[in-house]
Amino acid sequence: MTWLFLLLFAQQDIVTTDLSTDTVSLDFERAVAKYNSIDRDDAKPMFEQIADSLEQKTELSDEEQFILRESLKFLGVITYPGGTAGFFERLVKVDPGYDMSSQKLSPKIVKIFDDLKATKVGQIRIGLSDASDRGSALLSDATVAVDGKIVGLTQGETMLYVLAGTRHIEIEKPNFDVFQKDIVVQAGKVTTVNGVMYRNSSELVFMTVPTGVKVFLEGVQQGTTEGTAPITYAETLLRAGFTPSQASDLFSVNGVGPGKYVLRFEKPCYKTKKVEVEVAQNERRVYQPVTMEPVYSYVDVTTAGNTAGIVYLNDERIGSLPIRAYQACPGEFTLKVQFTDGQFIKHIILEEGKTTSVVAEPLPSIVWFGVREEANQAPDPNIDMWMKDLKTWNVSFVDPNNTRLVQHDPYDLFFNESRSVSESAMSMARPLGADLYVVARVVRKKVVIRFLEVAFWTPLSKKVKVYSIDFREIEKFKELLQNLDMPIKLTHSWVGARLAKVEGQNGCKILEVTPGSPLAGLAVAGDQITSLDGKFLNQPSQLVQISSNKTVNLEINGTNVTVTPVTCIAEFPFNPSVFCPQAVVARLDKLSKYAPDPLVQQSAKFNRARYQFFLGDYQQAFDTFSDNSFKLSYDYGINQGTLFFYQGLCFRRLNLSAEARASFQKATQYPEGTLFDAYGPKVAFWAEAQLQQL
Amino acid sequence: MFWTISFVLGLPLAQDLNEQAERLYTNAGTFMAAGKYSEALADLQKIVDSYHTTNWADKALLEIGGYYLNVKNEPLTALQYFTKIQDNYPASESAPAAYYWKAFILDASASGRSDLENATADLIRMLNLYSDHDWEDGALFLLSRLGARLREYPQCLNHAQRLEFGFPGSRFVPAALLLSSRVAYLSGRDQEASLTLGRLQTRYSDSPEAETAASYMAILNRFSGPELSYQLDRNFPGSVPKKYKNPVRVGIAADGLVGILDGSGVHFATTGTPPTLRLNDPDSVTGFCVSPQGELLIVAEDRISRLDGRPVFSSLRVSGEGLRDISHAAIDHYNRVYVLDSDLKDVAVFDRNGSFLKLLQVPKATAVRVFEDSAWVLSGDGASIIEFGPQLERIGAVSSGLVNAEDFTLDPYGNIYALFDKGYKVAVFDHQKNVRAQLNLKAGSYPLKQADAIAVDQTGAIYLVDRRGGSVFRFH
Repeated sequence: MTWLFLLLFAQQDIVTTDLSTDTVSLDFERAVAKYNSIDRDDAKPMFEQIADSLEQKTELSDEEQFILRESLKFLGVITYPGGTAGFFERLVKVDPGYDMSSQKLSPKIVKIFDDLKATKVGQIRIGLSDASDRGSALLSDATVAVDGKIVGLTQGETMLYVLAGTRHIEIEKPNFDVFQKDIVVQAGKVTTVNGVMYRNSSELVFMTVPTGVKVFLEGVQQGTTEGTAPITYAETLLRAGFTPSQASDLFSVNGVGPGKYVLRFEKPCYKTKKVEVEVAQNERRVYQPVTMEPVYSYVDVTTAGNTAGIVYLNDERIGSLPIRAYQACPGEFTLKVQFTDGQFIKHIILEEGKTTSVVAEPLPSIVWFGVREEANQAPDPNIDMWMKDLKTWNVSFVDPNNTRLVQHDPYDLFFNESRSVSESAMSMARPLGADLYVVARVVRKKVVIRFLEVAFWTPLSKKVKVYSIDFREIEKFKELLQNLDMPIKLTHSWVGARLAKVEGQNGCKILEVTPGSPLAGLAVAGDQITSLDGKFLNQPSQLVQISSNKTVNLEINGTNVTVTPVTCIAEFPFNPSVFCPQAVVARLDKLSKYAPDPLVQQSAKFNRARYQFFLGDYQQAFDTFSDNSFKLSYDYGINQGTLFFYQGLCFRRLNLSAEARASFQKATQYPEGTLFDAYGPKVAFWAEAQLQQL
Repeated sequence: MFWTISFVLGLPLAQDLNEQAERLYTNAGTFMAAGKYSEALADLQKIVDSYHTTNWADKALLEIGGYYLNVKNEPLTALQYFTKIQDNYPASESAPAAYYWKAFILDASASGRSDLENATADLIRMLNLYSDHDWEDGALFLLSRLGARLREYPQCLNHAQRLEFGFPGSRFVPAALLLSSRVAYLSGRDQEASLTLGRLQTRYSDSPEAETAASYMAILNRFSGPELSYQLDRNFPGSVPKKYKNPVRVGIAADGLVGILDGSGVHFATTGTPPTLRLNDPDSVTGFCVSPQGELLIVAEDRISRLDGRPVFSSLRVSGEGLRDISHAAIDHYNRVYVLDSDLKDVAVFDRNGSFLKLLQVPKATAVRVFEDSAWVLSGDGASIIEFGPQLERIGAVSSGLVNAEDFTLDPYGNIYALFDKGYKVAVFDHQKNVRAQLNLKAGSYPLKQADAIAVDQTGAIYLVDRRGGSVFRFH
């Protein structure tokens, strides 16, 4: 690229300020600039210095060769007429084939060069053929070196400029022995070099359809096909149903000895192809075009409800939700769905010929403002890393001092005494749009002991949760963060019986069989369950471990009974010391909208309201428990009666006794409704206790 | 300016005071951990005296109170420190803890209903005053227990429910569920009592209370059916004929330890290693009783002591006369001891310190038992079991069908088991005093015809003492 730039730059009417970092290039640019100015003569020492330094080097890059040639040319022009010949003689030695006539120079100067060249340079005509096939075309693509310096490649019969005198010619080509010859070149004359080259190994030649295919010989990559097919193969390709532009240029595997080989051809989105070949000694074999067969996989991307979202596969936008049977190459991808209220990112593997279905749920997002440190007390750098390691959240690091983005100081907002945020927090959150905001500071609670205070807040609650962690136990904070990723269990399996272990009796006694449950009609209260799936049932808690949609075998009063558990809503325990409630609320909110299972959606919505209740956001909780569109129409477990119970609790907290009484009375109408989960206490009994308090 | 003035006058800055107090507090913590209590107390007391305006004064008081409560076992001294926090540092971090421990001490040392009511009021005040602290679950549990002791069962259930609802991971929940089950049963909600125990076993299966729940379930299970039935436990080691020499008494601890008194002294029926018994005068042992915490105690003619010989009550006096012929004793939840003395021919009641309170006026009473804060006394004629309430007033009696009753006992759910008809029959009454079963030892296929004493364990299994046969039988 730089080389191309310099080529353009060398034209006198181009002025640019784009500079190369390379010293010679910079010097050359400056010299050219000076040459193009009114102080042209001042460029002479500059070019001289460049030319002298480059001529002393044994090996020059293409760019350096160009700079040397052009410097000598400019010196010839600047020193005209007295010094011109001297510099042009040096130029001819550097590049005997240099063509001055194409330059926009004075004909007088060009003539000086051409005359000099005629006295110093002759030409050689090279014509080499394959010794084993002398009737074939002359060999091309052989490297020609004169006195050890590469001067070009053969293309059939090839003409090259060479300095007059006795020269040593070496011609090299893969799969052939080196051709060497000493010749005498006369100035202004053509010297012919004819001969043959002898093969020393075999060459396997391929074209691939399409181009860009990786070629492996016995597992070792040989390169990648490129270009388009030579026109000489057009007929072959057309017969196979392809045009030359669909196929690659010839690709050679060189240096192959006699024997059997496996060639492998690979290209993404194509079926890998293997070809077995048998190679004789010192042959060149051109194979039929290797045609790759395309393969596809498909992906469906949906989400719960009619939510809008833009879908990306490896950062390429592939459309909007829902995506049906999108065709893609098999392989590993990062699927991203951008929702209006979050992102979903998942690593997926698309398998050949198969459709992969993904139900996208947006991950909740965290804005992490970082740790505000005391003077000379740098915070633990691991905290940023722990944040970054969160897998079920999209974490953004936001500079709290960026006043364009953060309109209120989050430290002031979240570390106030009341632990309850104002409208300012909402206005701060609006442009950031995250589900959870986390901010931390280092404080001294004792003389020598630092504490990390971390505040969590979600716009779904007015309450801020602040954790205060002794730096000596900072791993506790890491655990707290890791718990943000923990699965939230929102359902459980249930067969429909409540059990108790009675001392002195085998198994567990059935205390109650819930009407309409899986065990209804199969067992009654007082029956004894002695085994579960062949294992002795010693504790009621063993029955809690069963999984849904998988039948279980129970031995009840000596008889085997097969029953399929049902899935019921479960409360997620409110345990702020283990699970940051603000984070749980944010996650539950996402699950309530996007969880694929409608029961999980309902449970998430119910649990979100519970968490809001426990956080003291009674109005928000009440709104959910009293939402007419939110019904838990189940005969048992957490059901509508549970909602009425919570509704009553909200009324109590809001000091609305009459309304609370009405809600608790409604809850008593649901004899099988429970709290916690289907094994939990009867909501009717607890509602009665509440009514006695009112 | 202020700093300059303070410096010149040699007055420490508030910040300096805080730091000095903190250092003293840290030192005290180190001394405490090393068991150097006097040094620790000196540092803490210095904070209280000289740094009372700092943030460390309330913490120091709390530490001192904790020391007197937990190390010195001087709850009344501890109470003074907790009260100081309440009075002087009501807005401090230590205030909720002070409220909690004060109520805890009142609950443990209550001598009457007013103490329990004071503790309840204190805890309710604490819950109203403070939020977001670590003592709420403990306070709710205490409130629940206080509700049960005050026989305010709805309050008990309500607080237990609040605890289970708001703090399902609290260490207090399993015990609260045990309590709830008993209170539900006593409130006539038998099914709810069973469901609560089942829930305890399901959700807190690893807790020690889950095992107790299985024992209690055995009682509820037996009483949930239309008829109570008992089978001889052939594995019980005491049922071997002539194993004991004229056994006369049996006592059972909450952990299942069975003590048997026979002509040769005290024996223990246990599958494990029997406890070491240290008695000053083995010949004076007359029986057993159980402490409010469930510990088996030895009743001797002039004292009540632990199995290791440490006295619990001794030198009990009525009208200046020391009791020297104690035949039965029982201790209620207020730690009041009820003593049946053959010389007195009545039941004398003493407070937790051994001070005489009153006679129950049951002439020639033959047995006394307690259930929580109530005392039960078998009348001299053996025709009724009289119930006395927390104020030591008569509040009822069981008499239905009782003739010539010899002995009786109560299980953890308040059900009554009476040995009557001169020991030929056993009657079982539920807590509402309804007869639920009658066992005729003479007419039935039992290994004994007549029993001399009765006891019941945590599972509701009945133990009958067969003096002539030299055995103790267990029926479950």
